[in-house]
Amino acid sequence: MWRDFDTLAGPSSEWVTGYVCYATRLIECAEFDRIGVLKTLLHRQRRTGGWGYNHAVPTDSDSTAWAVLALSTANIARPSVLYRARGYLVAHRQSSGGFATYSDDDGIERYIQANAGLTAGWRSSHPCVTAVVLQALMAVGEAASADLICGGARFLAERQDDSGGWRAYWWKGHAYSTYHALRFLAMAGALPESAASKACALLERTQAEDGSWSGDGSGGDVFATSHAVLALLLRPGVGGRAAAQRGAEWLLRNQEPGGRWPSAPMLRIPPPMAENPDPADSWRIDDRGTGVVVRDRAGIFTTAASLWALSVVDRMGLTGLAGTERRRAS
Amino acid sequence: MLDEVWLRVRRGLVHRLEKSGQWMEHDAYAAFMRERKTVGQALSQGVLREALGEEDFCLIQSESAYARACHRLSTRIPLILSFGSELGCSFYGLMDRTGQHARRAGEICAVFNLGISIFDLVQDCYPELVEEFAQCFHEQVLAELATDVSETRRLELRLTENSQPELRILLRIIVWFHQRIREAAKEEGAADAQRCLAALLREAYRSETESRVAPAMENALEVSRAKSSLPFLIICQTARLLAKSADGDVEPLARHIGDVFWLVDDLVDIPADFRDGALNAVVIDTSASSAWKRASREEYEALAGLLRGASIERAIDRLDENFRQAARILADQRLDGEAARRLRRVMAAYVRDWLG
Repeated sequence: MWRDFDTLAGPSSEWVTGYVCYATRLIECAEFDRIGVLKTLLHRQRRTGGWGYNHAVPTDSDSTAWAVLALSTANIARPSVLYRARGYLVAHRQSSGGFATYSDDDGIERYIQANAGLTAGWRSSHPCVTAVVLQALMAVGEAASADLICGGARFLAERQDDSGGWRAYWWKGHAYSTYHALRFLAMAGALPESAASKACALLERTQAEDGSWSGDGSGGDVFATSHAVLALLLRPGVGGRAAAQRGAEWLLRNQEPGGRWPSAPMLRIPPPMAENPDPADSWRIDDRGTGVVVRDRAGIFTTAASLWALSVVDRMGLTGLAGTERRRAS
Repeated sequence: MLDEVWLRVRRGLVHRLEKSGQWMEHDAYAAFMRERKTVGQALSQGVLREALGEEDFCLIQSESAYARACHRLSTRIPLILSFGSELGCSFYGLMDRTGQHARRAGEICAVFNLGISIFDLVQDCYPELVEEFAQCFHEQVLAELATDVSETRRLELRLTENSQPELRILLRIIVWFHQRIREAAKEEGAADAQRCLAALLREAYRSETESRVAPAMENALEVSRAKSSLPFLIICQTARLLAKSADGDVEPLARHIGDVFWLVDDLVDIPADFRDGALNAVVIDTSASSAWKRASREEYEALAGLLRGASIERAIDRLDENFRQAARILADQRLDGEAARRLRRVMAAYVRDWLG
């Protein structure tokens, strides 16, 4: 499994592995035993039906959703695995239609040794979690017409902010949350053209001259750029394609010689009681505990995000990748 | 119980195919599929781009087109194209050793295979679009497309009117396919072959439509079979249209191959088809005395019946027999050795691929 991030709970294995496996699903690499990694992930499913940040941390809906998405790329999971995972995810649904990271049954407060009343933020619904959970539910067969899909679509539609994006709880900036919200809404057939246009306009407006996007206005950020590129390519009209192509070219220019991409602090760990952490709050950078924003120290998560974006760009034939050439029928 | 079904299918199928020498060993399979993906990517960037035009090509490659199927379509486009191409080239090679139109056969069949996959996907995942689609594309239109250029133009006009990308892309593929078929038939003087192809296309369309409306029990198995195996006959007939000769043994071969993939598809899909109440050959066999679409409270009994009985093993037997019959035909010395070897590898690899 892959391991990355450095928090009080240690590095993440299950969550990071789920994300990386799914993010790289379009990439063929002879050296990578994808099925082997997925089987390892499969065996980490817990009695709750879910997966967690790592084996020691209670299960949560976001890690579970990424594990489910990863497993949906190969036909190796028995029906009961996905059935139990679905049940676990549904148990995190709230009356708003959104999904919380932790439910009352996950026991996160025992793990962090806090009172239940002090974990309201971590047990509330947020767009960045809801959008991914709903994608996972659709990946295991939930119909677009199902109540929980329609309810989730309403939850997300109501939370598109005036700028056109979606705010995230666990992530710096809006790119990750905006991409996943758009992606789910497109899957559910619930993405009005006006909402898509508004989001694309935000992304085009906030793109820097060099083609990058920033998580906090402070300079090009690979994670933010990757998700902005992915979001624009959900609706690949001419203007969006051009902006996405500039973003992809920035990603290519910023790949390090060793193959990875440089990471920047992007994962937020708000205080567990904070339900609406203000982006302007002072966050400690790369520190441990809560109220922090941390980077993936090994660059695995960021690199996977970049590969995801570039693989979609490559599939559309928008730009040549270093080391590959655009394939054409001869 | 679904787990037990899932395991029994996999173990039974792998064991049987290993015993009959049809199971492709892992390293050979992995290498073959990597090669097929590369070919598929080239087909995607070439013929598919040409068929769809730049805008719709980008759209079908995006993560939002046919998004309800999640990544099922988007990640598999290269393999779908490659599978169609390989079948088309192989059937063509068995009928015509000149190789003159091999590439053309491969390209037309590649795009056809993608079209069929998208057609199925729209039926499965976009029920609200089915009626709209049926208004611009139905059996009558299919009949006229074969020979009437103006029908193609009418369909092209519907493309510009259609704002639903899921339907527009499918219509573009249909128009492209029929244009290529008409051109090929005219150049090769293959009017008879074209008529046969048109009849097969109508039969396939009919079986797809029937499969969605709970066919009577006595017809259900044949409808299930036709829906899944006719595309293979269509690919064979497309190759025949371009081939100089028409070897009599190739059609039975196409039928056997179609039956292999029909059965592997239905065996693998038992859990999902149970969930969705979809037509499935193995489930029909179990429910011979009752309606094949059952209420959820009867699911336990139906699954228990499936596990108590030998429907799974019967389907595996039938699959294996069809595989052997196809291999027997391919071993015929009169057929082109390279094309025959190619087809055997394609069958073994894609059966393994469908099992996952």
